Amino acid sequence: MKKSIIVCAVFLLAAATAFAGGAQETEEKMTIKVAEQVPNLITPGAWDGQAFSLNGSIYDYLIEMDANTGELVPSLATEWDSPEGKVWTFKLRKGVKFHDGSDFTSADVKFTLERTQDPELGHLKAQDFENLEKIETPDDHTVVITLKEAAPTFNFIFTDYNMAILSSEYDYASKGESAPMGTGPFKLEKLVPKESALLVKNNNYWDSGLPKADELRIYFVPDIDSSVSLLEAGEVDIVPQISPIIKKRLESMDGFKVVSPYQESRFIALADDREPFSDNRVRLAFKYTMDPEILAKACQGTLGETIFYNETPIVNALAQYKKIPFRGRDIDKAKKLLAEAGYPDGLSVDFFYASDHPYGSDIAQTLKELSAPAGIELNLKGFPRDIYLSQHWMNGPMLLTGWGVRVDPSMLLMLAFHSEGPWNESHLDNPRIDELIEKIRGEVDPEVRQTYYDELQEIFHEEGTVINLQVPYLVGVSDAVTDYRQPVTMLPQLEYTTIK
Amino acid sequence: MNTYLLQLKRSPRAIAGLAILLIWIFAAIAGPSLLSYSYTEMDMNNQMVAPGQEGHLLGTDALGRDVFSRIIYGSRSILTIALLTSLLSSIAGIIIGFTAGYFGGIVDTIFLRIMDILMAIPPLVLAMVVLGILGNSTIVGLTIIVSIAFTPATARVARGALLTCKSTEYVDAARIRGESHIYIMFVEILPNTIGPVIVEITARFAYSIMMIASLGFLGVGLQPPTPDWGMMVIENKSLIRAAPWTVLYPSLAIASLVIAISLFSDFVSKVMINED
Repeated sequence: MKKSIIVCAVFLLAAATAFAGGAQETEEKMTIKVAEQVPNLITPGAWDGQAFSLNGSIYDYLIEMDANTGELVPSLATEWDSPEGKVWTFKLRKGVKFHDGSDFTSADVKFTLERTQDPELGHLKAQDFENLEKIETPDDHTVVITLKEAAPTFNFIFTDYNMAILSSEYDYASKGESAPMGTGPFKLEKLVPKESALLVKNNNYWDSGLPKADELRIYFVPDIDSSVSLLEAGEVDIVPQISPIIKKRLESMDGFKVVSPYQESRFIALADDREPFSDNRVRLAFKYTMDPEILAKACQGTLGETIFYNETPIVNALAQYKKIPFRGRDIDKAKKLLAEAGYPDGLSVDFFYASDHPYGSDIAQTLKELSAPAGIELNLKGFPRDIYLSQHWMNGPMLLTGWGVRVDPSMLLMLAFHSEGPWNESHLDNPRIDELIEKIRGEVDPEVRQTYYDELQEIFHEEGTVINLQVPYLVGVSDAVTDYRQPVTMLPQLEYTTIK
Repeated sequence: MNTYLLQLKRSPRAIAGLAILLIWIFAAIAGPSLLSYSYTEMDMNNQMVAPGQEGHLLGTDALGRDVFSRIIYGSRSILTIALLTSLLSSIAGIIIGFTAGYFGGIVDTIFLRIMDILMAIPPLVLAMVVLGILGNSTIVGLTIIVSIAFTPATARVARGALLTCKSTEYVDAARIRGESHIYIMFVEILPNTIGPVIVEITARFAYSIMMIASLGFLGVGLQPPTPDWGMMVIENKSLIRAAPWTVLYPSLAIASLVIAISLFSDFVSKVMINED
């Protein structure tokens, strides 16, 4: 009996020391823990905008955006210049090393840009770089890009999340998904697909003093409610992309806050190439049933303060936005337009959306209510987001999709509203809109460029295929988190973040 | 018939179950026309109003929809599907089970093995997979799928019931008379095995309610804005702190209906077994 007591005591003592040791170890290391909703990792270049914490931490970009001022600031490029928008000279930062120890040089930038034209990759910036005439690398730290046609806002493209700078010596085709590697503030240490990723501080990071944390743990949790439960239980510190209802819940609790770094769009896309929205009168009829005030309330916000509405691709917060008054809800007019278009008894249309995406289900159900009195019956087809994106997005008559804001709207216009855009979800094919998008890209004079933007928005208001509802992007964080930065580029700058 | 009523009188639990069930059936049939709000009507000035305020008996949800109206409307779809499901799966089960049991031999073996395979897959998983492949669910689709998922269980019960009377004298007599197999199965045997079959139908009814509510909760049930009870629970689950009534009342509705049917089906099984 005595013996067993001694054995027990020894065991307890050993366990206690082990636990004490463990506690000490975690105290020393500052770890940021994030719950991301990303379903899987994709080769850089074709990201659909989910693994932002991971990608933004492993990779660097030529140009970054200051999260507080919204200005472009140097990152891997220290300065850039183009007198006429045709020849662009980028000076690169010296002494930068990739995680594998190789030096960052102009050859890597050249590789990254040329990679956009790889037909097998399906790079989402392929179109933007079709304009490249040649890339010269006069020395290791200078890149001179000559464009076929002038593009005065060309530098903005480098802030796009798909323009992570890659190493010319690394095999991204086979390792891009399993072992992503860049020059960023954190290095990937361990990746368990669909489960978690462990990143550690890059001690050779070019910006000495950054990152402030030692470790970054990212958990891939597809369900937002589970993510929030992890946050409430103290298992994670940051949960991006929460819904407004969860915001209310977190705000009612101690120890959490909700930050809204920027607005993002919810595009209601009306397909231009199939019934019933191929007829602009039907699109107009639908727009006449809209009530922005009601939609704002359905998103738990206030119109003009946290929620914005227009019928063009340009968000209200940008300088290029042209104020066009609301057309006002007019059911009689909507009915008249439908009758003219050959639907005197109304119509019914399938409406696809991601039911688990913030705001998705609320917006869908509100749209159904709003349009019903005019005789437009929306058959709601809600799917989990990964199924929605992989199976229904891009090929439904009516879609609701979340879109991030592009700092330079011409990038978004090219991607989603040009007839040849890879993400032209409404299958818009309007020669005048194509022409204006191309002119916007090439115009050097900002005032003339604005006249094109104005015309474009007027066309969209009258015959466009999109309703643009702007909602706050919400991130739930615990009170232990300080300095969470995330500019409109959507890439969190976790190198600045600390955990108390 | 009178003996049934007499037994019912003596069982307060059965009366309670039947009463709740009748209230829900009344709500499903007449309720919607008596309500002051439609189930989709959004009152954006009264989002998440607490029960009893602004004329909303059970409060409103995040889109300002009346929870009471949604529950009453929701009783329609759930009762319709559950009733049809229990009937359909019982009929299919009786046909399959009787055929297998009556003919025996190779027919029995084949039927039983198929039912074994189907039974190896839990009904909820089977229904989820089929609904996931078919995409969106409608009342008809849900009814058929849940019925298929339940048929193996009812078929086994029916087969078992048939086997108990298969070798009785009246079956032999009918055979000697030269009656057809179908006549013997459904005119001679069925009335004599009706007890277990009715018990099975009422028990299936309760299972169906649970199943439909679960499918709604898992997001493969009816599509919004149709007020499916299970869907209402999942839709509002993040509101559980801010507006608990949006989750509580649909959950209570599911629970009350399932308990009511269970109490009643307990009574039915007791009566039917005593009779035997």
